[in-house]
Amino acid sequence: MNEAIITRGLVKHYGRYAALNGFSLAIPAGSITGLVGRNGAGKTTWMMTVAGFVIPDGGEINILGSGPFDARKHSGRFTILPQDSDLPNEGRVRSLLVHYARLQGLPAARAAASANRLIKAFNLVDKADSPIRALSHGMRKRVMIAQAFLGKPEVVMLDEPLSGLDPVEADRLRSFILSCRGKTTLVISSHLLDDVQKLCTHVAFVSSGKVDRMETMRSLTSDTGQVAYALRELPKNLGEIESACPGIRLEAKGANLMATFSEALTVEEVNAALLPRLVECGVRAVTPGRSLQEAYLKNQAQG
Amino acid sequence: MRILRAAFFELAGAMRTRRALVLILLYLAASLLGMNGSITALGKMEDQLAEVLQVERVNGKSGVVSAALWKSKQFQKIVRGMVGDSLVYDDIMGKHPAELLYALIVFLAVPLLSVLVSSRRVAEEVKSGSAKYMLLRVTRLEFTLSKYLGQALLMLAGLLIGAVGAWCIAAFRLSGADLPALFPAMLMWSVKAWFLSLAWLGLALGVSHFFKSGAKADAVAILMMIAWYVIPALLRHYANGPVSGRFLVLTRLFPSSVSDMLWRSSFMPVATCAAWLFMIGLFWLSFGHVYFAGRDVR
Repeated sequence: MNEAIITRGLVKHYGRYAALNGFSLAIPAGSITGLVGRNGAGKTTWMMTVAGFVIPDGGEINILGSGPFDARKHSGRFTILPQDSDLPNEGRVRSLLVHYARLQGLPAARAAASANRLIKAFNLVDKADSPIRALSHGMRKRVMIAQAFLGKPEVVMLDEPLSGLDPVEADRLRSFILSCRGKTTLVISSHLLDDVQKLCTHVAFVSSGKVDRMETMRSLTSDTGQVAYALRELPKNLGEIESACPGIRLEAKGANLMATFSEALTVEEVNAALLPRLVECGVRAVTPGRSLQEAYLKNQAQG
Repeated sequence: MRILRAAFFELAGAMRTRRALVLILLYLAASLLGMNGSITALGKMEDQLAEVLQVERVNGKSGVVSAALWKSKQFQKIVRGMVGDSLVYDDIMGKHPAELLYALIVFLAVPLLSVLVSSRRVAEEVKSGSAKYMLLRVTRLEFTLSKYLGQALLMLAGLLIGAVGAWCIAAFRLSGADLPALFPAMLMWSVKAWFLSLAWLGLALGVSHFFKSGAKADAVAILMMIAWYVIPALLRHYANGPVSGRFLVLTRLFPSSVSDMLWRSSFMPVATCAAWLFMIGLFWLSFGHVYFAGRDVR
């Protein structure tokens, strides 16, 4: 099996509004796939539908080759960090995690070990026996993320995992996610495109309840047709430089200069042509390829 | 197994909620005050009776005159007429008034207590989103049944605590009564009341599955509780009139119509009634589950 999740033609209407409008997406097993798109594009609805919380009006869902979500088949194998969902206030961190792990079928000792491992991984040791109601928003979020990694899940979906986390904890989560690479299939929905670019192996652009395109992050961002130069100041003779370097088009973006070139040229040739002319402007960084942000904005403009 | 695990977690969680705690404490207070008030009233009645009958009143021993009164044929006839059911009368005859007063208090309190304790349990979890963490690990049927079982265990705990509290009051106020015999009797009435609560819990939790607002679930559950008393009464009233007599069978779906059997002492009638109340609870709960199984939990 090469795909951990396959959805075909998912449809979900709320009255006349189509939250999912033929949403088809195959998530490669072992990948970290980022879902990006505007608010209301259908990312969360798709996740909720795959997790069985939302009943679709049509379409097919196949999780780990065993059909749509069914707790009897997928409990412990497929988990999710749902967006805007509170934990039961009455529970305590450790006992709640152990309880969830036990419900997933883990024996008591393994459930406790798994809960303790995640409590440590998400820096909750001090709060392990605190009631959920006594935790701050960020701490609750970390418990919510921890519950998604109890046991050894094969597929984990994270809806806006970084929102609400302080910079230190966000960095800890990034490292944790990267440590899952190749072991667990992850699907991450986020508006933080820089994070998606750093963490994900694949990216799907979602708009109007369907997937516009899905590509590997490498093919999307290591586009050989672009090089970005971070400069101290922009050259005043941009037109002259452009006319002196045939096949290269220059575009100023703030203090950055974006060079777009034809397939006939390589990155090395473009650098050889441009760098001597840009030295006076103070070249701080050269980044071949484009960022996810640019790819996303381009996709939006085309859409 | 997962249902049991989830049910015990539900029990632990429910016991930590302020609402359940407040309601159980209110129930405990009501049963203690009710018991105390009833004993006081009983004592006054007995004083008057003793005066009218010109018998000696034994101070601080409410229930002694009533116990003697049970032996009066005339009194037995009056009570038999009031109870209506001669089998029930035979079973309650001779019981200590304190025991019967306690039974009356719990049977009156249980429907409202069951409804108030459980009616917002599912609705609030759906609203907060915490239900999602459970639904990742248990099926919706297991979720429903675990809620029912957990709430039932909570009610049992509350009722048993109420019985202990009421017995303490009785022990304090009824120095002449056979207290060692009164304690298991009161516990038994609590267990019987728990059987009754199984039906009302099914209704209240069933209602809770339809809503995403605890307040709405509360309001509808209370209205339905009232309706569940009125409907069978109307069916009985209009039987063989505007309503065909065969519709009387429908009254068996309402807990208030079958709970009289809980007043019996023999095992079989009580066990049959308990099983039927449990079935009624599951019946009304199933409506909620069927709706919940097809609804979005957003």
